[in-house]
Amino acid sequence: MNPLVLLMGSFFLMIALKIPVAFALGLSSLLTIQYLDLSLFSIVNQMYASIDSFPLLAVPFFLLLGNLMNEGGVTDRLVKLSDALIGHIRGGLGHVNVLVSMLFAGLSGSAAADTAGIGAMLIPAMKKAGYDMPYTVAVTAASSTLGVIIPPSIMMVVYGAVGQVSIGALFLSGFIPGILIGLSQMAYTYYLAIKRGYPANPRKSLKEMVQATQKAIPPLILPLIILGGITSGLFTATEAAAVAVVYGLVLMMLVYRSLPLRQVPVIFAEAVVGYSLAMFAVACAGIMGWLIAYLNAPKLIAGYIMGITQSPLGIFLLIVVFLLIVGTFLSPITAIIIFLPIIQGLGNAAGIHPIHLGITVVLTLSIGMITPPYGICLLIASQIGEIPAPRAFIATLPMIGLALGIILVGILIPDLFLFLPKLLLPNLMK
Amino acid sequence: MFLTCMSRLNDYIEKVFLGLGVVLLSTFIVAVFLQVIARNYLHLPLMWTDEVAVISFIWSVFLGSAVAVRRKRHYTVELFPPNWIRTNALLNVGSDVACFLLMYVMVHYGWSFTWMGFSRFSTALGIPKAYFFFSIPVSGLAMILFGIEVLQKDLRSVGKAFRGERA
Repeated sequence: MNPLVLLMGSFFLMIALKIPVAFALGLSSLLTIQYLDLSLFSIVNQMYASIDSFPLLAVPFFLLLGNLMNEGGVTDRLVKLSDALIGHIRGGLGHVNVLVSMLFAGLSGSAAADTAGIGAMLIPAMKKAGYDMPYTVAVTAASSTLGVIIPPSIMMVVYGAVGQVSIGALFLSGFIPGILIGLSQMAYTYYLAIKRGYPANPRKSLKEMVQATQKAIPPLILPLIILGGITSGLFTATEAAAVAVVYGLVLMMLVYRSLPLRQVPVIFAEAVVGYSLAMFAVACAGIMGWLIAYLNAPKLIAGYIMGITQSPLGIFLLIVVFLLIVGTFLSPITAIIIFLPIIQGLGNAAGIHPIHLGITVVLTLSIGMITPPYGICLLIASQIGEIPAPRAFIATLPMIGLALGIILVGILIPDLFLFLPKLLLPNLMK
Repeated sequence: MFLTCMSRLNDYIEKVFLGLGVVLLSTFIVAVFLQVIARNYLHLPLMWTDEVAVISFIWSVFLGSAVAVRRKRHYTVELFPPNWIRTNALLNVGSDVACFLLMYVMVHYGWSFTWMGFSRFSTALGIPKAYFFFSIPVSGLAMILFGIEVLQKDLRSVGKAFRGERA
């Protein structure tokens, strides 16, 4: 049997049989390593090597940051600010939901923290105001994927660390698509609001707007620290993340006093288990990634596909379709580690800019966070809204369509996403 | 009797692992923060912070992923509907058993890996890499202990599922 078929086949069989994905990655690699008569030593070796990486440390930091924002009442401040700014438009709470996600995305690198924090506040509020539940859950889930698109982003950290691409440049390339996707969701909300008669919140006075803005300024300095630090070369993405965590802790414990000291170990312990799940999957996916490279799959597959089409557009479309399918049952980070060598091999062969490829992969996989069976954001939001995930999924379809449209425009016009990193990090973009 | 002892032991391990995890996470936050301050403001590049941060990170990941086994937090794909109680109960048991294989490899080969690590030294701190590698067999061993407890619970639910449907 072709070892590559054995590897992939046994992996898919195992996850279908309810073996946890991380273990299935390790076990299918174990099987293939035995079949090839290689040393099982490689398993522990590769496991270790995949997480022995300084850039990956940004993952726990950005995850922790999101949890801290939720626990320390920052999400609340952002909701009030968004409400003061755009709550009076028709479908007010829907717009607020999207805008808060965009702001929160600048503070947190994880989409799930976004769904949990914002969902817990806005889903009950929207229910009370008479919004229908499928839309409410859908907009909460879909807008929270901006958490991994608008910088900082855990997904981009992993992509950059594994794929040897500048994390700073990836961060900057996420800005424009993040804002476009957010705006498209607001436009869709407006359309539904007119059609279904969603309410608007009363317009706030200028004084209230100024007050809400003042209260939100301290946390909103964080994105400036992170991006300013990285683009000016003062610190790396990981260092920026650590500075952001310290800033967040000081802000919440000493300035706002919204986070009592005894609460900190509890949040930390929860964060350790949370990022360990992702990082253990990274460790196990690393074994499989190593095997895929050992079996020379990136070259084989690139050669095979280049025989069918050589146009960058064709390659891009293939990658997008493939990742949409894979994203329905794999977490984005796992998918990146397993398939990145193959995707980058294809990208190189087709002459695609590495950052252009990176942002397209991240955007496509972010859709996987709202597609069942494994769409973590959709699952969290539908739990909060107490409706079945498939019903919410149907309501997200128009928003997925809009996001796909934006991805397609970005593929056709590379500079739309790339001009920001080209402008601010010219050395890295050559 | 054996199982109550087991679950008491596991409670203890979980508590220790989480406590260590909190300390390790705090350590690497401080280490990376120090690195930034030292380089940019004191103009004193620190070499050791990088390694201290990575070793704390790696240990916390392996300790945390062991705890996640006990809490059944490792993500699985739910292909079968939740009301197929018997199928799901049987698959849970099968999956628990299969996972032991990888845990065993982590313990056995992780242990030899650690021994090998005594002759490899880290660049900045100059300490044996064994101190880094040891996290893998430790995690594997705890996973096995936690796994036995989870398996026992899942076996019990298989019994319940089959009796429950007959009654």
